[in-house]
Amino acid sequence: MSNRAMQWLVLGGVAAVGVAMTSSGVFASWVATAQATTGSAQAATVSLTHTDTNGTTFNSGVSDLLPGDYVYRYANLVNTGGLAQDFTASLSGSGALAAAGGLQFAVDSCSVAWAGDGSCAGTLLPVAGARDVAGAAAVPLGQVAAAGTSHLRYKFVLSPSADQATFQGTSGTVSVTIGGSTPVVGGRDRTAG
Amino acid sequence: MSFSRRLRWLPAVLCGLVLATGTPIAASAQWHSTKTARTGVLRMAAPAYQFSGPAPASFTIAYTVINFVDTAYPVLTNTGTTPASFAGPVLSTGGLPLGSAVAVKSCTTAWVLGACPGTETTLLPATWLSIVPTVRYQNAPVPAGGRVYLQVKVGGFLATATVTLTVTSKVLPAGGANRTAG
Repeated sequence: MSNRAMQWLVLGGVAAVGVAMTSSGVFASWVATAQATTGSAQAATVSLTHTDTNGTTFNSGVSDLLPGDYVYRYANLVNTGGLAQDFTASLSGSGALAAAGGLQFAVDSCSVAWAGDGSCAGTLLPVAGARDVAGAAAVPLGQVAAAGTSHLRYKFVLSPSADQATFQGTSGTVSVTIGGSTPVVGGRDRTAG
Repeated sequence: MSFSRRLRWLPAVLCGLVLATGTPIAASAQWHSTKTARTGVLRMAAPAYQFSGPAPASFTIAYTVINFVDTAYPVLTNTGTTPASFAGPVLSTGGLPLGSAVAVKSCTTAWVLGACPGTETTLLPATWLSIVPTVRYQNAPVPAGGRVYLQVKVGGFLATATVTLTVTSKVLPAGGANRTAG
Protein backbone atom coordinates (compact mmCIF):
# COMPACT_ATOMS: atom_id res chain seq x y z
CA MET A 1 0.00 0.00 0.00
CA SER A 2 1.33 3.41 -0.90
CA ASN A 3 1.62 6.30 1.54
CA ARG A 4 -1.17 8.14 -0.25
CA ALA A 5 -3.49 5.26 0.16
CA MET A 6 -2.61 4.94 3.80
CA GLN A 7 -3.47 8.60 4.33
CA TRP A 8 -6.87 8.17 2.81
CA LEU A 9 -7.54 5.14 4.96
CA VAL A 10 -6.76 6.99 8.17
CA LEU A 11 -8.91 9.93 7.14
CA GLY A 12 -11.81 7.64 6.37
CA GLY A 13 -11.49 5.92 9.73
CA VAL A 14 -11.54 9.19 11.60
CA ALA A 15 -14.63 10.31 9.74
CA ALA A 16 -16.42 7.10 10.55
CA VAL A 17 -15.65 7.37 14.25
CA GLY A 18 -16.86 10.96 14.24
CA VAL A 19 -20.16 10.07 12.70
CA ALA A 20 -20.67 7.26 15.18
CA MET A 21 -19.92 9.46 18.15
CA THR A 22 -22.23 12.28 17.23
CA SER A 23 -25.17 10.04 16.53
CA SER A 24 -25.48 8.37 19.91
CA GLY A 25 -24.58 8.58 23.52
CA VAL A 26 -23.32 11.66 25.24
CA PHE A 27 -22.01 13.09 22.04
CA ALA A 28 -25.43 13.06 20.41
CA SER A 29 -27.10 16.36 19.74
CA TRP A 30 -30.47 17.11 21.42
CA VAL A 31 -33.48 16.94 19.14
CA ALA A 32 -37.01 18.19 19.80
CA THR A 33 -39.89 16.52 17.87
CA ALA A 34 -43.59 17.18 17.51
CA GLN A 35 -46.22 14.83 16.11
CA ALA A 36 -49.52 15.80 14.48
CA THR A 37 -52.22 13.36 13.35
CA THR A 38 -54.82 14.14 10.70
CA GLY A 39 -58.48 13.76 11.40
CA SER A 40 -60.05 10.53 10.32
CA ALA A 41 -60.21 10.39 6.56
CA GLN A 42 -62.76 7.73 5.66
CA ALA A 43 -63.42 6.40 2.20
CA ALA A 44 -67.03 6.85 1.04
CA THR A 45 -69.36 3.87 0.78
CA VAL A 46 -71.85 3.12 -1.98
CA SER A 47 -74.78 0.83 -1.37
CA LEU A 48 -78.50 0.57 -2.06
CA THR A 49 -81.63 -1.20 -1.00
CA HIS A 50 -84.56 -2.15 -3.20
CA THR A 51 -87.49 -2.95 -1.00
CA ASP A 52 -91.02 -4.13 -1.73
CA THR A 53 -93.65 -1.62 -0.84
CA ASN A 54 -97.26 -0.61 -1.32
CA GLY A 55 -98.61 -4.06 -0.60
CA THR A 56 -96.86 -5.86 -3.42
CA THR A 57 -94.25 -8.56 -3.28
CA PHE A 58 -91.80 -8.48 -6.12
CA ASN A 59 -91.27 -12.22 -6.31
CA SER A 60 -94.91 -13.27 -6.25
CA GLY A 61 -96.21 -14.75 -9.48
CA VAL A 62 -99.46 -14.60 -11.43
CA SER A 63 -101.12 -17.28 -13.53
CA ASP A 64 -103.76 -17.29 -16.26
CA LEU A 65 -102.62 -14.06 -17.84
CA LEU A 66 -104.53 -12.96 -20.90
CA PRO A 67 -103.02 -10.77 -23.61
CA GLY A 68 -102.77 -7.24 -22.26
CA ASP A 69 -103.02 -8.22 -18.60
CA TYR A 70 -100.52 -6.45 -16.40
CA VAL A 71 -99.00 -6.65 -12.94
CA TYR A 72 -97.65 -3.78 -10.85
CA ARG A 73 -94.76 -4.22 -8.47
CA TYR A 74 -93.72 -1.33 -6.26
CA ALA A 75 -90.26 -0.89 -4.79
CA ASN A 76 -88.39 1.80 -2.93
CA LEU A 77 -84.89 2.30 -4.20
CA VAL A 78 -82.89 3.83 -1.36
CA ASN A 79 -79.39 5.14 -1.77
CA THR A 80 -77.86 3.96 1.48
CA GLY A 81 -74.39 5.10 0.57
CA GLY A 82 -72.62 8.32 1.40
CA LEU A 83 -72.53 9.68 -2.13
CA ALA A 84 -75.09 10.51 -4.76
CA GLN A 85 -75.45 7.72 -7.29
CA ASP A 86 -76.74 7.38 -10.81
CA PHE A 87 -78.96 4.31 -11.00
CA THR A 88 -79.92 2.07 -13.88
CA ALA A 89 -82.20 -0.94 -14.13
CA SER A 90 -81.16 -3.84 -16.32
CA LEU A 91 -83.91 -6.33 -17.06
CA SER A 92 -83.54 -9.85 -18.32
CA GLY A 93 -86.03 -12.62 -18.70
CA SER A 94 -86.02 -16.37 -18.44
CA GLY A 95 -88.60 -18.83 -19.68
CA ALA A 96 -90.53 -19.04 -22.92
CA LEU A 97 -92.92 -16.24 -22.05
CA ALA A 98 -90.02 -13.80 -21.72
CA ALA A 99 -89.10 -14.19 -25.37
CA ALA A 100 -89.65 -11.36 -27.82
CA GLY A 101 -93.33 -10.57 -28.19
CA GLY A 102 -94.22 -12.03 -24.78
CA LEU A 103 -93.53 -10.22 -21.53
CA GLN A 104 -93.04 -6.49 -21.60
CA PHE A 105 -92.25 -3.96 -18.91
CA ALA A 106 -92.53 -0.28 -18.14
CA VAL A 107 -91.22 1.80 -15.24
CA ASP A 108 -92.67 4.87 -13.56
CA SER A 109 -91.59 6.78 -10.51
CA CYS A 110 -93.45 9.03 -8.12
CA SER A 111 -91.93 11.91 -6.19
CA VAL A 112 -93.69 10.68 -3.06
CA ALA A 113 -94.68 7.25 -1.87
CA TRP A 114 -97.27 5.56 -4.08
CA ALA A 115 -100.78 5.51 -2.66
CA GLY A 116 -102.38 2.21 -1.84
CA ASP A 117 -104.61 2.43 -4.90
CA GLY A 118 -101.58 2.89 -7.13
CA SER A 119 -102.07 6.59 -7.66
CA CYS A 120 -99.30 9.16 -7.33
CA ALA A 121 -100.10 12.18 -5.21
CA GLY A 122 -96.87 13.86 -6.22
CA THR A 123 -95.20 14.13 -9.58
CA LEU A 124 -95.54 11.08 -11.80
CA LEU A 125 -92.49 10.55 -13.93
CA PRO A 126 -92.59 7.98 -16.73
CA VAL A 127 -89.15 6.40 -16.64
CA ALA A 128 -89.48 3.82 -19.40
CA GLY A 129 -92.35 3.09 -21.76
CA ALA A 130 -93.61 -0.42 -22.47
CA ARG A 131 -91.08 -2.57 -24.28
CA ASP A 132 -90.16 -6.21 -24.60
CA VAL A 133 -88.11 -7.64 -21.77
CA ALA A 134 -86.14 -9.58 -24.35
CA GLY A 135 -83.28 -7.49 -25.60
CA ALA A 136 -84.16 -4.45 -23.52
CA ALA A 137 -81.42 -1.92 -22.96
CA ALA A 138 -80.63 -0.73 -19.46
CA VAL A 139 -83.09 1.88 -18.19
CA PRO A 140 -81.66 5.01 -16.57
CA LEU A 141 -83.44 5.61 -13.26
CA GLY A 142 -81.82 8.96 -12.59
CA GLN A 143 -79.66 10.23 -9.79
CA VAL A 144 -80.57 9.72 -6.15
CA ALA A 145 -78.82 11.73 -3.46
CA ALA A 146 -77.21 10.06 -0.51
CA ALA A 147 -79.95 8.73 1.79
CA GLY A 148 -82.51 9.62 -0.88
CA THR A 149 -85.35 7.39 -2.05
CA SER A 150 -86.80 6.76 -5.48
CA HIS A 151 -90.36 5.44 -5.45
CA LEU A 152 -90.52 3.03 -8.36
CA ARG A 153 -93.39 1.18 -9.99
CA TYR A 154 -92.69 -1.67 -12.37
CA LYS A 155 -95.39 -2.72 -14.78
CA PHE A 156 -95.06 -6.19 -16.25
CA VAL A 157 -97.37 -6.73 -19.20
CA LEU A 158 -98.25 -9.70 -21.31
CA SER A 159 -98.08 -8.14 -24.75
CA PRO A 160 -101.57 -7.42 -26.10
CA SER A 161 -100.40 -8.89 -29.39
CA ALA A 162 -98.73 -11.96 -27.89
CA ASP A 163 -98.89 -14.81 -30.37
CA GLN A 164 -101.29 -17.29 -28.84
CA ALA A 165 -99.96 -20.32 -30.59
CA THR A 166 -96.51 -19.51 -29.26
CA PHE A 167 -97.19 -18.39 -25.73
CA GLN A 168 -100.36 -20.08 -24.44
CA GLY A 169 -99.56 -21.94 -21.25
CA THR A 170 -95.94 -20.77 -21.13
CA SER A 171 -94.33 -18.93 -18.26
CA GLY A 172 -91.42 -16.66 -17.53
CA THR A 173 -89.74 -14.55 -14.91
CA VAL A 174 -88.02 -11.20 -15.07
CA SER A 175 -84.88 -10.23 -13.19
CA VAL A 176 -84.26 -6.59 -12.44
CA THR A 177 -80.71 -5.63 -11.55
CA ILE A 178 -80.32 -2.17 -10.11
CA GLY A 179 -76.90 -0.69 -10.58
CA GLY A 180 -75.66 2.45 -8.91
CA SER A 181 -72.47 4.31 -9.63
CA THR A 182 -71.00 7.47 -8.31
CA PRO A 183 -71.37 10.21 -10.88
CA VAL A 184 -67.91 11.63 -10.20
CA VAL A 185 -64.50 10.05 -10.21
CA GLY A 186 -63.17 11.99 -7.27
CA GLY A 187 -60.15 14.21 -7.37
CA ARG A 188 -62.03 16.95 -5.54
CA ASP A 189 -60.47 19.46 -3.18
CA ARG A 190 -61.91 18.33 0.16
CA THR A 191 -59.80 20.68 2.27
CA ALA A 192 -62.88 22.30 3.72
CA GLY A 193 -64.49 18.98 4.49
CA MET B 1 -28.29 0.11 -31.54
CA SER B 2 -25.55 -0.26 -28.96
CA PHE B 3 -26.27 -1.41 -25.44
CA SER B 4 -25.50 1.98 -23.96
CA ARG B 5 -27.84 3.65 -26.47
CA ARG B 6 -30.62 1.25 -25.56
CA LEU B 7 -30.00 1.99 -21.92
CA ARG B 8 -30.65 5.67 -22.51
CA TRP B 9 -34.16 4.84 -23.84
CA LEU B 10 -35.05 2.75 -20.81
CA PRO B 11 -36.24 5.62 -18.53
CA ALA B 12 -38.48 6.98 -21.28
CA VAL B 13 -40.04 3.57 -21.86
CA LEU B 14 -40.65 3.09 -18.16
CA CYS B 15 -42.30 6.50 -17.85
CA GLY B 16 -44.59 5.65 -20.76
CA LEU B 17 -45.65 2.41 -19.16
CA VAL B 18 -46.47 4.10 -15.86
CA LEU B 19 -48.58 6.75 -17.58
CA ALA B 20 -50.34 4.23 -19.77
CA THR B 21 -51.39 2.06 -16.83
CA GLY B 22 -52.10 4.88 -14.40
CA THR B 23 -54.44 7.01 -16.48
CA PRO B 24 -57.29 4.54 -17.12
CA ILE B 25 -57.28 3.37 -13.54
CA ALA B 26 -57.97 6.86 -12.32
CA ALA B 27 -60.67 7.47 -14.91
CA SER B 28 -62.56 4.26 -14.12
CA ALA B 29 -62.45 4.67 -10.40
CA GLN B 30 -66.23 5.19 -10.02
CA TRP B 31 -67.74 3.07 -7.29
CA HIS B 32 -70.63 0.78 -8.01
CA SER B 33 -73.38 -0.96 -6.11
CA THR B 34 -75.86 -3.49 -7.45
CA LYS B 35 -78.88 -5.43 -6.31
CA THR B 36 -81.07 -7.91 -8.18
CA ALA B 37 -84.73 -8.72 -7.69
CA ARG B 38 -86.61 -11.42 -9.56
CA THR B 39 -90.31 -11.57 -10.24
CA GLY B 40 -92.37 -14.61 -9.50
CA VAL B 41 -93.50 -16.85 -12.32
CA LEU B 42 -95.79 -15.07 -14.77
CA ARG B 43 -97.82 -17.55 -16.77
CA MET B 44 -100.12 -17.12 -19.74
CA ALA B 45 -103.42 -18.91 -19.60
CA ALA B 46 -103.93 -22.09 -21.59
CA PRO B 47 -107.38 -22.75 -23.04
CA ALA B 48 -108.85 -26.23 -22.70
CA TYR B 49 -112.07 -27.90 -23.76
CA GLN B 50 -113.82 -31.19 -24.05
CA PHE B 51 -116.70 -32.58 -26.05
CA SER B 52 -119.37 -34.76 -24.60
CA GLY B 53 -119.05 -38.37 -25.64
CA PRO B 54 -116.33 -40.94 -25.34
CA ALA B 55 -113.55 -38.88 -26.97
CA PRO B 56 -113.16 -35.50 -25.23
CA ALA B 57 -111.00 -34.02 -27.98
CA SER B 58 -113.58 -34.44 -30.76
CA PHE B 59 -117.11 -35.53 -31.41
CA THR B 60 -117.83 -38.13 -34.06
CA ILE B 61 -121.19 -38.84 -35.60
CA ALA B 62 -121.46 -42.14 -37.44
CA TYR B 63 -123.94 -42.67 -40.28
CA THR B 64 -124.81 -45.90 -41.89
CA VAL B 65 -127.85 -44.88 -43.87
CA ILE B 66 -128.31 -43.40 -47.30
CA ASN B 67 -130.15 -40.28 -48.26
CA PHE B 68 -131.01 -39.40 -44.71
CA VAL B 69 -130.76 -36.44 -42.40
CA ASP B 70 -129.61 -37.15 -38.90
CA THR B 71 -129.10 -34.87 -35.95
CA ALA B 72 -126.70 -35.05 -33.00
CA TYR B 73 -126.43 -32.88 -29.91
CA PRO B 74 -122.83 -32.66 -28.70
CA VAL B 75 -121.89 -30.37 -25.86
CA LEU B 76 -118.66 -28.41 -25.88
CA THR B 77 -117.37 -27.43 -22.44
CA ASN B 78 -114.66 -24.87 -21.73
CA THR B 79 -112.57 -26.72 -19.16
CA GLY B 80 -109.96 -23.99 -18.92
CA THR B 81 -109.69 -21.35 -16.23
CA THR B 82 -110.32 -18.39 -18.49
CA PRO B 83 -112.79 -17.56 -21.24
CA ALA B 84 -111.83 -18.86 -24.65
CA SER B 85 -113.08 -19.29 -28.20
CA PHE B 86 -112.91 -22.56 -30.07
CA ALA B 87 -113.09 -23.41 -33.75
CA GLY B 88 -112.19 -26.28 -35.99
CA PRO B 89 -112.95 -28.08 -39.23
CA VAL B 90 -115.74 -30.59 -39.67
CA LEU B 91 -114.01 -33.68 -40.98
CA SER B 92 -115.66 -36.57 -42.72
CA THR B 93 -114.62 -40.05 -43.64
CA GLY B 94 -116.08 -42.64 -45.92
CA GLY B 95 -117.95 -42.06 -49.16
CA LEU B 96 -118.91 -38.47 -49.77
CA PRO B 97 -121.03 -38.13 -52.88
CA LEU B 98 -122.06 -34.66 -53.92
CA GLY B 99 -124.88 -33.33 -51.83
CA SER B 100 -123.61 -34.29 -48.40
CA ALA B 101 -123.93 -31.27 -46.15
CA VAL B 102 -123.65 -30.27 -42.53
CA ALA B 103 -125.31 -27.52 -40.48
CA VAL B 104 -124.46 -26.49 -36.92
CA LYS B 105 -126.46 -24.45 -34.43
CA SER B 106 -125.95 -23.61 -30.79
CA CYS B 107 -128.29 -23.03 -27.90
CA THR B 108 -127.64 -21.29 -24.62
CA THR B 109 -129.33 -24.16 -22.81
CA ALA B 110 -129.72 -27.84 -23.50
CA TRP B 111 -131.80 -28.72 -26.52
CA VAL B 112 -135.20 -30.23 -25.71
CA LEU B 113 -136.73 -32.47 -28.33
CA GLY B 114 -134.96 -30.62 -31.11
CA ALA B 115 -135.97 -27.20 -29.85
CA CYS B 116 -133.85 -24.55 -28.15
CA PRO B 117 -135.49 -23.23 -24.98
CA GLY B 118 -132.95 -20.42 -24.80
CA THR B 119 -131.26 -18.40 -27.49
CA GLU B 120 -130.53 -20.22 -30.72
CA THR B 121 -127.63 -19.23 -32.95
CA THR B 122 -126.65 -20.56 -36.33
CA LEU B 123 -122.95 -21.29 -36.28
CA LEU B 124 -122.69 -22.94 -39.68
CA PRO B 125 -125.46 -22.83 -42.26
CA ALA B 126 -125.87 -25.93 -44.41
CA THR B 127 -122.51 -26.36 -46.10
CA TRP B 128 -121.05 -29.04 -48.33
CA LEU B 129 -118.93 -31.43 -46.38
CA SER B 130 -116.63 -31.82 -49.32
CA ILE B 131 -115.13 -28.39 -48.72
CA VAL B 132 -114.28 -29.28 -45.11
CA PRO B 133 -116.06 -26.36 -43.48
CA THR B 134 -114.77 -24.73 -40.32
CA VAL B 135 -117.07 -24.11 -37.39
CA ARG B 136 -116.70 -21.38 -34.83
CA TYR B 137 -118.43 -22.89 -31.82
CA GLN B 138 -119.51 -19.61 -30.29
CA ASN B 139 -120.11 -16.00 -31.18
CA ALA B 140 -118.58 -14.75 -27.94
CA PRO B 141 -115.84 -16.33 -25.84
CA VAL B 142 -117.12 -19.20 -23.73
CA PRO B 143 -116.63 -18.43 -20.05
CA ALA B 144 -114.53 -20.75 -17.94
CA GLY B 145 -116.64 -23.81 -17.22
CA GLY B 146 -119.23 -22.65 -19.72
CA ARG B 147 -120.98 -24.99 -22.14
CA VAL B 148 -122.09 -24.69 -25.73
CA TYR B 149 -125.06 -26.90 -26.60
CA LEU B 150 -124.69 -27.84 -30.24
CA GLN B 151 -127.06 -29.23 -32.79
CA VAL B 152 -125.39 -30.88 -35.78
CA LYS B 153 -127.45 -31.89 -38.78
CA VAL B 154 -125.87 -34.02 -41.46
CA GLY B 155 -127.70 -34.88 -44.64
CA GLY B 156 -127.18 -36.20 -48.12
CA PHE B 157 -125.94 -39.34 -49.68
CA LEU B 158 -123.78 -40.68 -46.94
CA ALA B 159 -122.93 -44.31 -46.93
CA THR B 160 -121.22 -45.67 -43.88
CA ALA B 161 -119.56 -42.34 -43.25
CA THR B 162 -118.58 -40.44 -40.16
CA VAL B 163 -118.55 -36.73 -39.47
CA THR B 164 -116.22 -35.43 -36.78
CA LEU B 165 -116.25 -32.08 -35.04
CA THR B 166 -112.76 -31.00 -34.10
CA VAL B 167 -111.02 -28.06 -32.45
CA THR B 168 -107.85 -26.73 -34.00
CA SER B 169 -108.06 -23.14 -32.80
CA LYS B 170 -108.20 -22.14 -29.15
CA VAL B 171 -108.06 -18.41 -28.68
CA LEU B 172 -107.97 -16.42 -25.48
CA PRO B 173 -109.79 -13.11 -25.47
CA ALA B 174 -108.00 -9.82 -24.98
CA GLY B 175 -107.34 -9.12 -21.33
CA GLY B 176 -105.97 -5.80 -20.20
CA ALA B 177 -106.86 -6.39 -16.57
CA ASN B 178 -104.82 -5.23 -13.61
CA ARG B 179 -103.61 -8.50 -12.10
CA THR B 180 -101.44 -6.99 -9.39
CA ALA B 181 -103.43 -8.74 -6.69
CA GLY B 182 -103.08 -12.12 -8.43
